[in-house]
Amino acid sequence: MLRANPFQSPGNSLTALTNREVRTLVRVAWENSENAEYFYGFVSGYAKSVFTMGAADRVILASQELLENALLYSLMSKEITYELGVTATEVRVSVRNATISSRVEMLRAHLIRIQENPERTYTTELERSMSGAGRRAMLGLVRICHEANMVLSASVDGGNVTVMATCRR
Amino acid sequence: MSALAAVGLPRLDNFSAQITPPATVQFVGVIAIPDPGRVLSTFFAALHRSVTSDGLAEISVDVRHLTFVNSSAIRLFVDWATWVRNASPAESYVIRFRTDRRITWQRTSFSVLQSLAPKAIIIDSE
Repeated sequence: MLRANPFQSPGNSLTALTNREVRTLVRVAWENSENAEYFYGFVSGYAKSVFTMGAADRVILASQELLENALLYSLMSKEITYELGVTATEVRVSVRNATISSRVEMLRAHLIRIQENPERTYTTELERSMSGAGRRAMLGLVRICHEANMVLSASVDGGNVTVMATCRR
Repeated sequence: MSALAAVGLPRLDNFSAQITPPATVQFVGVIAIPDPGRVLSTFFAALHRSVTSDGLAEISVDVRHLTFVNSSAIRLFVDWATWVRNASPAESYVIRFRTDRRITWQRTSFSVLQSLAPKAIIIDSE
């Protein structure tokens, strides 16, 4: 399922949005994760067409990394949902996938550590990679904070986890 | 013919590599597919083997036009730096990355890589 309106720039309708109101620009759900690969090009083009260059780069990075993590860690035969939305002041990228509770606890611990000091965590992760102890999902999350200057959060709904990256428009 | 010149180039949408003997490699495009190591890890390993086989003291890797990579692709560069850092003195060489400081992933990644493998990596930033 794909819903997107490439002809409506979110910048054109700022006055219609309140700070709390979220306008969904793109929402895509897969039941077969193999199809996600083709989505990267779409997100890249869409983000560049509707956001400033800086915001587009952030959206592209967050979309890539969150989707790759979801593909890596979602349980088999479960749906992955991607959403790109805006409020009056923020851009939000979120990805939802099925998971198990132990992974959620690990994810929350990662997010706390990353956001305490993204730069230091980035160095630590590359160092771990060089020693063969790297954690695949971690580097992507760190990049979202360190390179894209986005804020990460995670929420749980039943057997699903949603990871969201936000930044100012 | 040098071993480097004989390295087979990978086929990947939106990404290309060019080898210019005796000691230059250029990467262009983006690496955005999930798990790019499936396609590119053998290529990076072949580059490393060929540099040692040719007895080069240095290889220049131009990434200025590699505008985006995902974190899995960054690990390919990490692996390469690790191989060089761990190489025996007889097989050691330096990777000279030509980077564009305006591109965020290059600015953040290569400076950290260099700090982790200072004898293996030189950064020429434009």
